[in-house]
Parts: sequence; C-alpha cells; structure tokens
Amino acid sequence: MPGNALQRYTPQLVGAAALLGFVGFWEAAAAYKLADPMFISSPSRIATVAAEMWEDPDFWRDVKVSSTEFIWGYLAAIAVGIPLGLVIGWYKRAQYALGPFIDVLNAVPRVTFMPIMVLWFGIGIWSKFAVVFLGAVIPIILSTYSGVRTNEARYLRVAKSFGASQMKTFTSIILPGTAPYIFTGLKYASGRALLGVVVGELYAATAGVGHMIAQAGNAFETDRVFFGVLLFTFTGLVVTSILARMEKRFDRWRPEGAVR
Amino acid sequence: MYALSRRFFVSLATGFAIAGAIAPAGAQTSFKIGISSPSVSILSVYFAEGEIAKKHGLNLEVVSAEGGTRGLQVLMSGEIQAMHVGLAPMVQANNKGADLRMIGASLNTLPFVIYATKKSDPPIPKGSVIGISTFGSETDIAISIVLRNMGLTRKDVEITQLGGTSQRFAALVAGRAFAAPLLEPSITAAEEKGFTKVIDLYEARTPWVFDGIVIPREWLAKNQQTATNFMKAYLEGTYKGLSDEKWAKEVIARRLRTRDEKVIDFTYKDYQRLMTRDASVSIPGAENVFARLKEIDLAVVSDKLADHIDSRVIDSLKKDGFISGLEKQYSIK
Amino acid sequence: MSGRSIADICRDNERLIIGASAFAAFLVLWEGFSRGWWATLFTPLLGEGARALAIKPIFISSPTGVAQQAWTMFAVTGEIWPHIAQSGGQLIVGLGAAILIGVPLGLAAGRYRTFSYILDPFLSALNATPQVAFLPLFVMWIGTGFWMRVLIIFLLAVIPITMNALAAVRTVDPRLLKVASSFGASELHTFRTIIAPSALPFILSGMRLAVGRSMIGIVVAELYGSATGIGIMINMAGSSFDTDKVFVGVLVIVIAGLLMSEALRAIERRYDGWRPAIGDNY
Repeated sequence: MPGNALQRYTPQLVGAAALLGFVGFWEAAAAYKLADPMFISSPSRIATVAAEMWEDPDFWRDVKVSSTEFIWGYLAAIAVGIPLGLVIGWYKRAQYALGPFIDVLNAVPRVTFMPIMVLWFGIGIWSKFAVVFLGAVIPIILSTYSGVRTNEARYLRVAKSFGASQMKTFTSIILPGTAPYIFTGLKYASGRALLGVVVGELYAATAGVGHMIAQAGNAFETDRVFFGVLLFTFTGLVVTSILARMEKRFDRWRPEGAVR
Repeated sequence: MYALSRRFFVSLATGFAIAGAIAPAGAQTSFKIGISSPSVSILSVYFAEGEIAKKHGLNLEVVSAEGGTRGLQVLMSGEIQAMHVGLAPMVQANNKGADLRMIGASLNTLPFVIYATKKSDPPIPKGSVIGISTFGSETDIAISIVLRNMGLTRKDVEITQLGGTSQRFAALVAGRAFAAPLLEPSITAAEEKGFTKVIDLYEARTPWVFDGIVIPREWLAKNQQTATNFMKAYLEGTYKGLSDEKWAKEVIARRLRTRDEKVIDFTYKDYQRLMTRDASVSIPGAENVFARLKEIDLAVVSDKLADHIDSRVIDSLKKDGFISGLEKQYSIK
Repeated sequence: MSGRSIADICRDNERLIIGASAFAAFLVLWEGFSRGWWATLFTPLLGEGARALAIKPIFISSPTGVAQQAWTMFAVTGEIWPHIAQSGGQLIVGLGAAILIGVPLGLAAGRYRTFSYILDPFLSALNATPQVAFLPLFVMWIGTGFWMRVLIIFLLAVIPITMNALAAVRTVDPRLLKVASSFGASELHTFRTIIAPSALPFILSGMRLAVGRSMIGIVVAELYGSATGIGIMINMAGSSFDTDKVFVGVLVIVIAGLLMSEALRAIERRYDGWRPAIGDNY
C-alpha cells in the first residue's frame, strides 16, 4: 500500500527534502553571489574539486596516512582498553589504583598533549598514533568498566550462591553481559579517534587529510577545505553507523532494565 | 640516547610492547633532514639529494617540518637525524636543556624582506596581523627586532603562525595577514603582486647565522662518519649547484614546484648571492645572534660558541683537501 | 580510642589509601626519570643500558619542575591569569550560546515530529564530523580572534546539548501529556509544567558532556593566532621547549574540567531520582 509506505518513510523523506533544500540554497547563494563563493564555496565547486582530487596521487597518499593513523591508533586503544576495563571492573583494588589516572586523563582533552607528542614521537605518523590512541582508549576503558560493574551487581550473588568459580562467573556471565557496553564505548571512541587524527594533523604533519585541510585553508582554497571536511563527515557517519549496528546486535545481551 | 628514550616513551605513553618496531632498523645509511619550508637556503640540500648523496653512501630524505622550532622538536624525537634551521631557535632549545650543535651553515646573513599588503603610515600599524612561521623561529625573531626598531612591541600587533614562506605569502594574498617576512621565491611573487616592501633586512647586511645543519650532540659523537658523509654530499651539492646552472634550475623547478621562469631565475641568483660556499658558521654572525637575543629578552644561558657550534667536521674537510678538491673539480672559487 | 584498630581504619579507607599511594608512586617515578635516580639505581644491574632511564627534563619535565613553574606563573609573575581570563571568557560565551540555542532547538525537535525530521540529518552529520575540522574554514571567515574561538566552542558544545534535550522530551511520560491536553492546557503551560521538569536531568547531563567538548574547543581553537589564552600558552611553551609550562597549562585544563563536571554532577544529583546516567563516565 503506497499510502502506508509513504507514512513509514516520512522521516527519511522529510530529512532528504531538507538536505536537498539546503544544498540547493547553498548552490544558489553562490551562483547569485549572495555570498562570495571564495568564502562559502558551493556544492558544484566541491564536486569539481572532488573529481580532480580523485585523480591526484597526493590525495590518496593523504587518505592512506590518515587512515593508517586512525586504524592503528583505534585498534591499539581496543587492545589496551578492553582488557584494562575488565581488570579494573573485576578487581576493586585495581580500580582504586588506576581510577585517579583515568579520571584525570578523562578530564583533559587528550589533544592538549600534542606539543609534547611532537617532541616525543616527531611529526610523522607516530605522534598522531599516540594522540588517537589516548583519545580512544579512555571511553573504551570507562564503558567496559561500567559494563562489568552493572553485571556484577546483578548476577554475582546468584552465581556465588550456586557456587560458580570466579573464572566461570567471569567468562559465562560478566563477559557476554559486558559486550553491549563495550560497543557503546567503541562508538564514542571512534569519534575521539577521528578527532585525534584531525587535530594532530592540523597541529603538525607532513601528510594526511587534516594536513591537506590546513594547507588549503592557508591558501584560501575553500573548495578543498570543504571537500576535506565532508570526507571526515562521511567517514564519521560510516564508522558510527557500523558500530551502532553492532551495538544493536549485541544489545539483546544487555541485562534488562540496566542503562539504556 | 635519542632513539632509546623514544622507545621508552612509547612504552610509557602506550603501555604497549611495540617499541622495538618503531625504532628505525638498520639506519646506517638512511639520513633524514628536516626543513622548515622549501626556500633558497635549503637548495644545497636538494642538490645533494639523490645521486650525490648516494655517491657519499647516504640515502638522503628531506622531511618538511613546517617551521624551525617545530623541526627542532621533531629532531629531538629522533625521527630525523638533522634539522636545517637557524642558530637562534637552536640556541633557544639549548637554553631549555637540549643538547644540539650546528655543524655547518648555509646562510650567514639575514635575508628576509618584510612585505605588507598595502602602504600605510606607520608601515606596520598597531593591531595589524603579522605572519611568522612558528613561535621562536627566525621569522619571529626578525619580527621582534624590526618591531623594536619601530618602537613597537609584540603586544602591539597580532603575531600568527602560518608556516613557511610560501604559506606566508599565500596568507598575504588571501588577506589573512597584513605583513610577513618573505624569502625567495615569494619575494618575486610579492613584487609581482605589488605588495609594499616594509624593510629589506638583506640590504642591511646583518651578520647572522640564518640557516644551518643542526644535529644532536650525542648522535654526532656516535655517528661522526655519517655526519661527515652528509656534509660532503651537502658541499658537493653546493658546488655542483653553483657550477651547473641548467641542472640547478631543473632541481629548483621540481622542488619548489614552479614553472615560472622568472621565479626560478631570481631564486637561482639569490642562491649564488647568498650561499656560504664552505658551509662554515660565521663567528661574527653567531655573536650577533647572541647579542640580539639578549636584546629582545630571550635568555642566552651560555654564549660560549663551543656550546652551540661544532666546526670539527668542516675543519677536517678543509684540512684533508676535500673542499679545495671540489673547487678544482667544479672550477669554482 | 576503642575498638578500631589500624587495620580497620585501613580497610575502611582502602580506596583512598590505594589511590593516593598509586598517585604518589607515579610522581616519584616521574621525578626519578627526570633526575636520573633510576639510571643510577639500575646501572649496576643493566650497565650502560640504564642510561636510557635518565630522561632530560626538556622531554618530560618533572613534578617539582611543574610545581615550581606553576608557583611562578600563578603567584610570582601572575602571567597565567590573563590566559585563564581570556579562555574562560571564550568558554562562557561559547557554552552560553550553545545552551541558549541548543536547549530550545532540542526541545522543539523533541516536541514537534516534523521539525525533528528536518533537523535530524544535519544533526547526525554534524555529530559524526570531528567538528574541529571546521577550524580552517572559520579562520578564513572570521580570522583567529575571540569570535572564531567562541564559534568553535559553540559548535562543539551545541550538539550534545541539542541531542540530549531532544531525547529528554521523548522520555516524558505520554500519559501526562495526554492528561494535560485533555484538560486543554496550553502548549506553553505543558512545556513549563510537564516537559521542562522531567527533561531537566537529561539536559544537565548533556551540558556535562558539552563542558568536556568545549575544553577541546579551547585547546584546538587556539592552535592558530597569538595573543592570550591557555591553549596558546601551551602551544607557545611547546615551541620554546618550556615543557614545564606545557604541563602547567595541561594541569589548569584538568582542574577546570574536573571542577566544572563535578559541579554539574552535583546539580544533576539533586534532580536525579530515577534516571540512569547517559554518557561516557563511571
């Protein structure tokens, strides 16, 4: 029934219409010189630049550098953050010892460390790797931790009263129940990791999409800047929607009635 | 120690046992030098890159650090082996506990021409935006000196970090800065744009150590031979560049990314005019740097030349006839 | 003096004792690297390799170096106060604007479905973008001064505020709304008496997220330009190899961030009751 389908997709349709309207208005504003295209660029100019850059090997080098920083920093944060979160969630004393450090790191935007990162790791990929890692690892630790704690409170007494061993309790109750929390953390962390890439490359880099944006900005190449920003938007949307989907899949493991 | 401490930091900051992979493996022949931006003073390095470096046993790689002080940070991280930078920023780093030495100089004079986008009186009005490369770099110090001569202080204007000369020129064109110190090829471009010359520091012939090869002392002590090889390649690059105009101009066109004959021509003329042939660090220049740094209230912890300059490599190349050999080979005096 | 042995006291304050000793150990470790204590200690064991355990203060500073520098900057020269005032001003204006715009926007989108359909694609796109990538654009549009930095802070802060305000309206008990409308309550009245009170805790936690985001804004917006500001101070200190000063700046941001989020958390607790926490914290 077409009427029903229309109703079902109203949000998407209205949203798409709004987006199209925005793009059209932008193009018109540039075409009729409501604002100087040198400042606001325009969708068609951005598309032209995108087509040009597609052919440019320098652009692909930038993409490669940025994705390397993102992927490795993010993976390292997962590899460190999940075990660490499990440990401080499971062992009270580990949380007492490490808690203050995590709190402090959580309070400070990790990008603040950029000047020191350059001094320690140089201007290449490694300083960005470090900033991406630091940005992403904290939300992963925190959400893994809170996942363990929530589960522990709920099920531990039951498990204990049935005489389950610590190992058994951990693997059969805590781990699966923690999974949805971990994915929530991963989603937050991906945003932080992307932020690290951008700031790190704006601050000091020899290559990367953020570096390209900074250079283009200095030379007033608005089209290129917009293209770079949109590239980040696109990446962010893709990464978060993949993670949101995974989060949803694991969500049925989430203990009922708990957070979200 | 630099490589070691770097490894340590990786484990400290990441708590991650991947340190071993980060340290450059088998770095005997690979030599990375950082530059602040492609300009006339760096040409000798570009001339040495490739063939000539290979002849002296080096795989030379040029890394753009976009700014002198930032480059020194990169140097201290161990990512590069040398930085092409001025004496003043290097002295600043040494004041704060770095242990760096300049082993050769490319430019022993202050070559900046400061341009403004339009004429005004005074030439730099209060509150205007002035572009420099990075804080504490040669451009920053040059601006401080010029402002002082005009009876202004840094607080009277807005100083903004823009990167190398080409970025500063682009910012002038875009109206993001009112004035900036420029080098070739941006000087030619600024003239073409009809920008106003505020002051020509080169005309004043100030003795200075504007650019040179800076290396960590500890690295130098362990890699004397590599450093010597690099200076050999650097010197041979200089001499070949001076004698073979056509080839030199091709390199300029490629590395400065320009096809504009005029720009290439002016850049090459500037190179002939400015370059220090034997790469020795000017002593009066160094003394002037120390004196001026003190004037603008930048502390100089030690003004002993030996704490900042190491001329042993160049001295030995002079003594063993390498430089006079080059003079003969390329028939340049 | 009766009944409580030292062991009891230790057990009761385990958290404090372990936390404090871990922190103290960290400080000693740090100081030791910078002063070469560990290098000296381990030389008999590791020989020359122990030299790697001595790290120049220019790389890592030291707790005493940072403390000394902080004392100088706060009490002796007072040079840090203009930086704090400048960044604080930017924070207040940027965050204030984000609240003034984000809360009504979110509430409206939560209440009126069609409006939320329109807002949604823009909101999710902006949310997925690392907003600091807009920095070069803002610099082109309005330069590197006060308003550019306010704009970055605003942009970073407005998104969590709007999203939380939107989610807040959706959690209002529909039965209450139904009752209100059947009694012919005006829209304004419904907002004031039903929606606003139950949305408040959500909005507050959105503000707490926004505070964290705007601290990022302070640091990042000041990457460009000179003049004053904590971010600029950190940046300039880094460029002139004043690692002590870099850490003082980081410390100021840590303390400001902790104070603000604690203050907001305290307010939240007052209004909390049933609602579970949203966001990335314990």
